Amino acid sequence: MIKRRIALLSLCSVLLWPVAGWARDGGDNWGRLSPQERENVRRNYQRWQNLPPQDKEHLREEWDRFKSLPPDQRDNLRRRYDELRKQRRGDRR
Amino acid sequence: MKLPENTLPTACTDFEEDLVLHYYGDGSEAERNRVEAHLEKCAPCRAFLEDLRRLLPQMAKPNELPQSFWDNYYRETLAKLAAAEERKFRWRNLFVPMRAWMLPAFGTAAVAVLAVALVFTKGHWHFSLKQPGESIPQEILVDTNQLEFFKSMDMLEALSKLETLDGTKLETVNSRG
Repeated sequence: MIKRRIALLSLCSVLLWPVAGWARDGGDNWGRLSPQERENVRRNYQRWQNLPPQDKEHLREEWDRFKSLPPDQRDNLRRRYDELRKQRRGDRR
Repeated sequence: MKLPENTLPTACTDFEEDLVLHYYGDGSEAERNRVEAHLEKCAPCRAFLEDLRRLLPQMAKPNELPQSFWDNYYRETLAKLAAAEERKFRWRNLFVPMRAWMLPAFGTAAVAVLAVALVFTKGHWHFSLKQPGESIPQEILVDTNQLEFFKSMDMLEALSKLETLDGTKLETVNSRG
């Protein structure tokens, strides 16, 4: 009886392994990110935990404001940010 | 005074017990002869014995039940025993019809699931128990908005500066005003 239960549980575990992996990955969201983006999220999350409450509040407000912008403006800002970042990296080198 | 109909008349005190035994055919041959000799001489004891013969069969009359009762009783007992047995093994019996096909069916299903998973993941499986997001809580990983927020956090810190450079902040302020 116990052997059968163990066998059944093992079988269920094998069948549910892909689902568990998918859930562990946070569904599709995390899987869609590139390795660089994942690293960026990790770093920012760690930084966020050490931020003072007023800075967190400020960033939340900025996020809400950014989301309320029209899509073309958001794209422009992202592009501008990427350019500035590349420029800074170039200056450092 | 008239005695009630079902009351035994009084016999000789010394013979009362012997008469009852005589009625049932108990006692030795000598004892029976002694009682019979006494009965020939004693009318109350004869009357007592007569009444015993009349009344005792009625009192000890067995309550005979018809055969159909015993047949039903037997069937009901068997049914109750079967029901009790069924209750005892109900969960075990639930899987009895499945046992024959369970192993091949689950085996086939497992292989099919693995094959589909391999096709869709293109074999890029990671079996480590380490969280992919490491210390990032699950609620952030599953929430697109939260994930986007942390992805864009660097840019948000410089948002005001970017808007000034891009001239969009002024436009936004003007449009809101």
